[in-house]
Amino acid sequence: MSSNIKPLVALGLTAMGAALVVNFKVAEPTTVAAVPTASTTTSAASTTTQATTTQATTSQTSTAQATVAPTATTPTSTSSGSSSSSSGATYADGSYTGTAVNEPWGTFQVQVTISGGQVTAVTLVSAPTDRHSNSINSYAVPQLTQEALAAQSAQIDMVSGATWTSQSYTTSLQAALDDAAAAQQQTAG
Amino acid sequence: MPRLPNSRRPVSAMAYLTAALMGTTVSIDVRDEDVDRAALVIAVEVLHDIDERFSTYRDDSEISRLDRGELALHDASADVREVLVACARLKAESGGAFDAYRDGHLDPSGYVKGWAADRAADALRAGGARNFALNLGGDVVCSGERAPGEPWRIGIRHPDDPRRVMLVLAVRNGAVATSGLYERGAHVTDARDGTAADAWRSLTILATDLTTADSLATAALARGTDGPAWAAARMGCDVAALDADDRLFTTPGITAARVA
Repeated sequence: MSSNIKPLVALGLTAMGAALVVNFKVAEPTTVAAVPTASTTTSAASTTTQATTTQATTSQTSTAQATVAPTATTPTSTSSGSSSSSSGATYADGSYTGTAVNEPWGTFQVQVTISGGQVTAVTLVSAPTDRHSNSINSYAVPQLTQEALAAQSAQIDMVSGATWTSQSYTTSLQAALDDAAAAQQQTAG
Repeated sequence: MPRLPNSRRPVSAMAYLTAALMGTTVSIDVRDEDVDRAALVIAVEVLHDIDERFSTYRDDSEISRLDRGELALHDASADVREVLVACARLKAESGGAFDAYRDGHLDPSGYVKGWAADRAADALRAGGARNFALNLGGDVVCSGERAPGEPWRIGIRHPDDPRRVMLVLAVRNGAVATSGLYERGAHVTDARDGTAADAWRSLTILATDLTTADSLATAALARGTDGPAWAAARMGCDVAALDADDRLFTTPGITAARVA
């Protein structure tokens, strides 16, 4: 996984209140990635350092989905970004397709659009269509997208309050953002 | 914060970690230049360990074994005993609105989440982190600053619309937890009569630690109409509450911390 998972917090993609799990039970892969950043300055096009990723050490399962096993992600990130960059931006303009994350029930993939160095849209390229996933798609994806767009303009570090989450969504989004950052780096470098 | 889309921030995160666990997501953002990344990994391990012992979804957790009567309370781990004693205290203090026994089963998760995040924050501090924010399932604990001279900025989402934040709080050392009625309807019930807690659409507690903030947010929401006043009477607790008519009530500490 080309994993520089940092912007997830920047985007305020946080979480689902634990109590909500009662209504919404899902088996999720456990992904841990710790990433150091090399840059402490605003001129963002900074370095991407190596990430350590540990997967599927445990799975958070619950009643209905208890037999569903988590699967590892497949790093097949593709980029269709053309970069017209603004200096100081982190991301090069363009559209970036994130990692196709294989879940037991299908494939999850998002595309981000960067304009003027900012994320302006996140769209779902591919998503599983079973009943469980449809509920994720209809609730979680719009919310995560809206949060991502809101948080970057509001200069917020963290968001308090229950939100839906999908690890697959965030994984795919992260890969797309990594590509956008890499494209910007190339341009800047 | 690293790699902001509109990177106007003076300082990037020095280490960042996100992980899925406990049925939710944890994000840890550390701003200390000399941060040891191992501290973040250890903090997540702390959460995993707590999940293993406290999860009601795991048949072999201490909580599940206690619930089935296979484990006696005096044989449980010190952490489990501490949490259950705290739950009993909160039940008494909330007049029974908060109760770790639901539908006859032991379920202290309304207390455990905030408590677990505090334990993870302890692990970060023990690992030398001083300036960090940790978000576990929408509950946030902050230490130090996001950048020299700048407090952390914590948004409180609007219950209707995740695109909107109701307010933004500037927090240095403190914790913010929000309970509310979201799209899927009530998830907190008043244990006294089993009714949905719907007097307040969203209730946020700002406190010195997340154990307090999270458990009081749940308990105050369950209490109903007097919940915010009840929580605000607690030492070091401030409250922001949105009522059914979308009127926002805040205590002075919230007003002081509010930046947007």
